Order: sequence, then structure tokens, then C-alpha cells
Amino acid sequence: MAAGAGLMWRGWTCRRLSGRLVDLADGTLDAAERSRLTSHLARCSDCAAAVAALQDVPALLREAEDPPGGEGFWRAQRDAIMQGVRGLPPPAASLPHGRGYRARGPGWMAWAPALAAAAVVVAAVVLRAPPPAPERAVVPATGVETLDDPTLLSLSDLAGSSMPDVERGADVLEDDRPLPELSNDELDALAQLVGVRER
Amino acid sequence: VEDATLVAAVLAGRRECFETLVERHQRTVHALAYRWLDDHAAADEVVQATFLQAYTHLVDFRGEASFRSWLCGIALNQARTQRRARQRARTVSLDEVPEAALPQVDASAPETELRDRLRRLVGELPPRQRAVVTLRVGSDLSFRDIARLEGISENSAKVSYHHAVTRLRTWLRGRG
Repeated sequence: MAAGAGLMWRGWTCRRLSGRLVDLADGTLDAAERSRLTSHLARCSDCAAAVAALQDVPALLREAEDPPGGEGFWRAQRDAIMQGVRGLPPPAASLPHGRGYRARGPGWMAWAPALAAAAVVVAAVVLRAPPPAPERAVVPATGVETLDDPTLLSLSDLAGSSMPDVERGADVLEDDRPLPELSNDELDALAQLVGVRER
Repeated sequence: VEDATLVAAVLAGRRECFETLVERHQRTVHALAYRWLDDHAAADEVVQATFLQAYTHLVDFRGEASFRSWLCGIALNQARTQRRARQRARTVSLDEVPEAALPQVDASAPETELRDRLRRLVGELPPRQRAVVTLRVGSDLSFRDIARLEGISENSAKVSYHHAVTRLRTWLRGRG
């Protein structure tokens, strides 16, 4: 049993070390980690064999390269590619001169202005919408037992004093202050959004 | 001149700069395609398709990884497509092929035996392991770049590589 547990533990450890063994074979580990792994290899024949394979097999694979020919072959291939390229339109034809190559951020950033404008619109719609139905409308008036429920009682008790959402909703409905002014970018994005919706 | 500078020059209209990029990377792309397809003619097609696609979509090169890594991603997709097409085309039974048309094994060439066995064995690896080994050994990409191309973590790429290599070693010892 103990031996089985030992084997299980060793297997778990070795699986965790899998990536590190690759680093060890590649020689990319720092001295401390290399020393730690080397002491593990002294005790674990499987990992030691794996490291040997990680050094030998890639070397064999590289030796097994079968290059197709000399410089003439590559020259001919290059010529064929460039002939194909000359038949294509320039890759940056649709972009302003020199704007093609650039480090770009994530794709969602392009949507950021539209998303910001959409958020403003949604907020405006929510704030102008009629208030939600009062809480009491969903309380079934079925009897004393239900009303005795401490949760419902606490809702009733709180309604007059600390039902912040209901109170705030009513305030906002009576608020005639104008909505925050939108920037030109937000207005453009908003117009685009509306255009999309109308289509 | 760095690859990124050449890319910028091509995008600015200097098409001839693309030839330098082809010259620099055609061997890498060919090696990758050949490992994937085990066929020089098919690998050649993949190289051409890869560079033409790279040229057409050069504006999509974001510079987040190296140009070589970006190119290898295109090449790997092309090679996968080519391999799938070839597999679909191989629906003809070998029994229907004339004997003379079947590939001949040259038993008098022992120096090519290991090379042939290795190529065949790499072709039998599970797709993810084959991709990682091909990109690592054939194209010399970093595990970081491989992880990015394959959409996995860097550690997963290393683990796949480890499994592939140990499997190849086992096969080399145990099979002809």
C-alpha cells in the first residue's frame, strides 16, 4: 500500500515536472532549479530517460532533415513566389500610405467608443423607463402564515424607510435635469448604432 | 534589416522587399511543410501558398510575435488543409492501383532507414503533438510562439512536446 502510494506520488511529481524536463534538456533552467531537478533524476529513472530522449530524439529528427536541393531549387521557388506576388494587388492598397504595419491592441478596443456610447444610451433608457412594479404586487395575499413570514414582514417594514432602489427610481423619474452631454465620437458611434438597428 | 522593417517597407509599397522575407524564411516553411506532409512536391505547394497568403494579409501581421512565427502559423494551416485534401483523395483502394504505380521501397539504402522511420513516426503522432514537434524541431520556434499559434499554454506546449518525444523514442526502439 505504501509502495503504491509512493508510486502514485512519484507519478504525480513527474507529471508536474514534465515541462521543466523540457527546459532542462534545452538548457534553459537556472542553476538552482537545474540542481533540484538533477537530484530528482538521480532517483527517478523514468525522468532521466525522458531527459535523454528530449536530447537525443530532436537531434535525430534534425539529422533526418531531407533538404530538397541546392541554391538553384530555392532560387526557382523564390522566383515562382515573387511571380505570384506581382500578380497580386499591394497588401496595403486599402490603407492610407504607411499605415499598414502597426502594433495593434486587442480587437475589442476598436469597439470601445461604440460600447461607451451604447452604455450611455442604455443608462438613459433605464433611467427614463417607468418604475418597476411595486414589491407588494408580487406578494401573494394568501393568509396570515405568509404574512407572518419574517422575510415578507421585513420587506413591508422597510418599504417606507429604507427601500433605496424604489425611492431612487421615483426621484429619477421626477428629475428634469438634461442627460450628460455626449462627445462627437459618442454621437457618431450612437448614430452608427441606431443605423444598424434600423437596418 | 529586421523582418518588421521589411514588412513595413512592403506595406509602404516596396514590393521587392518581400523577396528578402521569402529568401530568409522559405527553408523554414518548407521544412515545416515537409515534416507535416512527407512529400517535397506538396511541401513546395504549401510554401508558395503560405507566402502568397502572407503577402495578401500582411496588414494582419501585428508584430506581437516574430514574423517567422506568424508565417509558420500560416504554413501550418496550409499544411493541415493540404493533408486533409490528400486524405480525402486517398479514397481509392490500393488494390485498384497497378503494381507498377505503387511506391517502391529501396531496401539497399540503409542510411535512409532511420530518416524514413522517423518521418513516418512523426506522421503518426496525435495532431497536437505532431504540430508541437514540427514547430519546435522543424521551425525552431520558441514554446511561447508555439503556444500562441496552437492556442494553448506554454506549459501545455512543453508537455505535448515531452510526450511526443518520449513516444517517438519508444516507437523507435520497439517498431520497425
